Amino acid sequence: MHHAYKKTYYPVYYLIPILLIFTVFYLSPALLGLLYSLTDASIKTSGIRFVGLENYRLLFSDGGAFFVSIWNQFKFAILDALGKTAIGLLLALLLNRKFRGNHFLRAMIYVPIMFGTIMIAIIFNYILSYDGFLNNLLSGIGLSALTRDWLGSFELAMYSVIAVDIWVGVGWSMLLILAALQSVQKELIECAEIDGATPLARFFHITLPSIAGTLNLSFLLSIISGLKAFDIIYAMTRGGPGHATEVMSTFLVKSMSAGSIGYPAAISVLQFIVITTAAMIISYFSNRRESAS
Amino acid sequence: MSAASRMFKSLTYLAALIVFLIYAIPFALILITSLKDEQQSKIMNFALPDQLRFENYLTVFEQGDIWRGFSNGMFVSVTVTLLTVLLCAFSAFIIQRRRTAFTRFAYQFLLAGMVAPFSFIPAIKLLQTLHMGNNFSGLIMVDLAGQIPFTILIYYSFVQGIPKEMDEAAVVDGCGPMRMFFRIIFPLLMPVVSTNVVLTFTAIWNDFGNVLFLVPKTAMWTMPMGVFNFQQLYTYNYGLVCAYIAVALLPVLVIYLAGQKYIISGMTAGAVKG
Amino acid sequence: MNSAIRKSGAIAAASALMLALAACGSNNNEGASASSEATASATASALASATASSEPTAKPDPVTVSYIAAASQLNYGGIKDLIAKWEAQTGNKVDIQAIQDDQYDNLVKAKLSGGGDIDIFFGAYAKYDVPNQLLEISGEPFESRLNDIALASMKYADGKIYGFPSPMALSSWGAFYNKKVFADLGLTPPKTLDELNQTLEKIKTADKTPIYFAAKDGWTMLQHRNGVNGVIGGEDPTIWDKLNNNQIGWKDIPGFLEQYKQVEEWSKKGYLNKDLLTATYEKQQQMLVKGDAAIIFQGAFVVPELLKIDPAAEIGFFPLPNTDGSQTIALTGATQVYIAKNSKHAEASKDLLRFLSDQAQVQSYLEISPGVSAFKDVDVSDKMPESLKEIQNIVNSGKLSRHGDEAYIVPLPYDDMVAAYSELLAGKITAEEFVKKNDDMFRKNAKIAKIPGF
Repeated sequence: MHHAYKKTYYPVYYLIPILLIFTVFYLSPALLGLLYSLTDASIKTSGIRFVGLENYRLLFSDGGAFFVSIWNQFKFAILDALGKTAIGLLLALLLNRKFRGNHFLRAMIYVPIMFGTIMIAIIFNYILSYDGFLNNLLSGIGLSALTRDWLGSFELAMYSVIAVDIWVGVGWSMLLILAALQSVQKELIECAEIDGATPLARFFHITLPSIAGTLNLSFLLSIISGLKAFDIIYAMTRGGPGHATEVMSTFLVKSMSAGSIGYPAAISVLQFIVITTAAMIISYFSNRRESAS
Repeated sequence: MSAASRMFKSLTYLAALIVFLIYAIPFALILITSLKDEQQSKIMNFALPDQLRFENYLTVFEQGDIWRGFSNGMFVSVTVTLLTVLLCAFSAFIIQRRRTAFTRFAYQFLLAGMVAPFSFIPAIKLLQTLHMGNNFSGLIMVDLAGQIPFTILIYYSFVQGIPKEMDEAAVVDGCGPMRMFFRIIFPLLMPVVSTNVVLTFTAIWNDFGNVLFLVPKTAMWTMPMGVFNFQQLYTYNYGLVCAYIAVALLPVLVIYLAGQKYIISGMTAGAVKG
Repeated sequence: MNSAIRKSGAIAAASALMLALAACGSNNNEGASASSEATASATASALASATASSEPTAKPDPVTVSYIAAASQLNYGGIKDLIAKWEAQTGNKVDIQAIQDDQYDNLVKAKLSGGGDIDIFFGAYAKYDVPNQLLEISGEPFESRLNDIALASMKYADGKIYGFPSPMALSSWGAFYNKKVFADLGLTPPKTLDELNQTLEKIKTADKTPIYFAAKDGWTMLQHRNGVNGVIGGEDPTIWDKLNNNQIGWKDIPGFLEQYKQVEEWSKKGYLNKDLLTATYEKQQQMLVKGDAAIIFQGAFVVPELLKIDPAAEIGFFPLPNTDGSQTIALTGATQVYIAKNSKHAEASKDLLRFLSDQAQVQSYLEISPGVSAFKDVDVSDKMPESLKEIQNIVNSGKLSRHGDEAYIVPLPYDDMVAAYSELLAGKITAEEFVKKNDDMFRKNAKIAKIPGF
């Protein structure tokens, strides 16, 4: 296309507002935050001094508490993504069948995503508390052996939070997979049916391969969002009990107790690096897969 | 119908019923508890209260400053949503159509916001310097800036699917860039606009952190802050808290039901392409 | 068409957008403040006509003062009514912001250092850059009305005063117990650790929960820690200075380890409630009042809450037992209320806090939420329930120590402390490990806070 034409009809200077707004109101506070990590900025003193990597040294000095939070974050992200994709697939298979109330159910599964984390956290804190609905239900049907302190147990708290997060977010994976299922070519399945393939064989040989790309996408995007997860964990357990559900952002929030601004900034820089690295690796693999297919 | 397929059908309904219950129970609990008095609300179950306490809702409306939270939330969410749609749709269009080193850079630059960690203390300082810390403009601009990265991404991938011939036809008709975009292209973007509207609106409506840190007075608090505050005030009266939650969830539910068709189609279309 | 015109058009559009936003924001704000001022002046004029004070002199324009408080504090002493009384008297407005307790410090710090709008808030000198962030208040009448401990606690390192005392009662910590449960089992308050252990065993045998902890919100669990600090501060009064100078660490305090060895035992022997990690403050109170639990470790501020549940509840108090029975309790200084140095409504804020610390208001506050008074001209002993009288008696006998969080200059790593406590109570770590963690976390925070000597 002609260069002058492009210049006239897609003028680059129309991008000034968006770049300006983004730079001023998002990027500059973010960058300033990062710069703080090299200083001794503190809410207790007005002066500010360059201290090099001092804050980072402090962060690594204490027996790896930060590494524990990174490990927990990955554990959360991977289990969460696996859960969302696997359950999302099951739900999509169910909703791909015709039955009454199908669309209603679809809407219902998606709706929690629309609600704020705080509301969800309050609701599930009630349900999962020691004398809450779930334990009452279990005792009521004679399964009192299964009652637990779901959010207070060091072993279970992480899984309880993951389960709630899956409940909230699985609708997204489900819709994604459902769309892929609906675009699987009907003829292929019909052919297989005529050839006498069992439903299970049809699923594994035709359906699954054709939606594999979408499953992969759902899994990878869920991992990225899981690596950034904060609200739901903070609102439900605040990283506890002990450090059982401590992830990078809860660690960050808690690091502010000494009044330092520089030290928490160092944590957020490292968090940024971890997430970006993971996201780049993930997008490298998904791009390679895409170009291969 | 064969016996096998009939059984398959009943299994489908059974599975659907189980899924339905898993999603319905938490909300049903909230509704039932919202009608109980303090004593009965302590045990959360499906036992109907002796007396339906609709007064809980009255108390919520009287004590909870719920109207203020509602109108503040509406004002901020609607403004941010409107600005996000206009700004991002048009910018994504320019970026996608004009492929130069600069637009490519601009695209990557904006997407960087998806990972860059936002920092509140510099943000408060910035808004103070710009005299935007004491009114909604500061909150709105920060909210808007935060919406840009993801929104640009979804518009960009959607615009890719609109043939350039559409633009050329408009040019032949003598449109300038603005008119070309708003007359010809924007209407074609409707599915993704709807997605954008619903996602942005709910994100801003539910936002907690920005409001907590960037807003100086309770007169400017939005709904989630209200819920939190209310929960602190009536820690042990689950009935009241549940009534408040039920009221706070309602606007989101309405928006969702109104835009549901578009959310689902728009979201999946965007995601499958992207 | 000329591209320069187009270009300037786009820029104009962009700046128009920004301007429109700023304008709409400020309009909105003006609208809001105008309306609140309108109501304020309406109240003022109504009041003026009601009192028929025919004083036409120009009063300063009514202002709105922001009052940022931890949500839990607003339930005490009828403080909201007292503030409303001041509003009615002056025509000014107070914007009470109830912030979730756990968010409180971070929010106030962020607002102070970001230069956000903030007038009145709470805290401790150790948390702030006192001369630069807090307004100096020296020379107020309350100075002559405070008792010695309270007045000393109001003075910053430079000898000046940067805050008002709140009407809140001075607090202290220890064990609150259900007297009926103790009486039924023939028990008396233990003084030594041996006596404590026998007591707990007897309660357990009687199928009651000996000690009930509530850790849903970390701060309720940490009240036990305040009790421990009261004991070790009594065993060695120089302990806080030594810790502040980094002469000793927490590991070097035998009485400290001794106390946490007890906690480790309680966890092992099943003296604690099973749901302790998710139990709420309210549930803890109920269990004690009902007599399902025998003992809770709390601050004196829990007493009015217990009586709210059952006005006839029989609650007693004993200090945390120690090896030789020489128990002391920590007594806080007055709770401090600050005004931000850059507050735009400093005078009105001062006026409000002056009003709240007046004799009449303190009296009214303490009658609703009774306790040990910080003011010489207010005494509500006759209004106190049994357990608070027991505390007042200990205070009068002088078996006191300084409150750790006020005497110790290293900022409390709150969340790490909550985590370590949860781990200890749940039996995940030993007392030795807990003490080591305690030592490490304070050392680290001292380094982050750049305290000399660390």
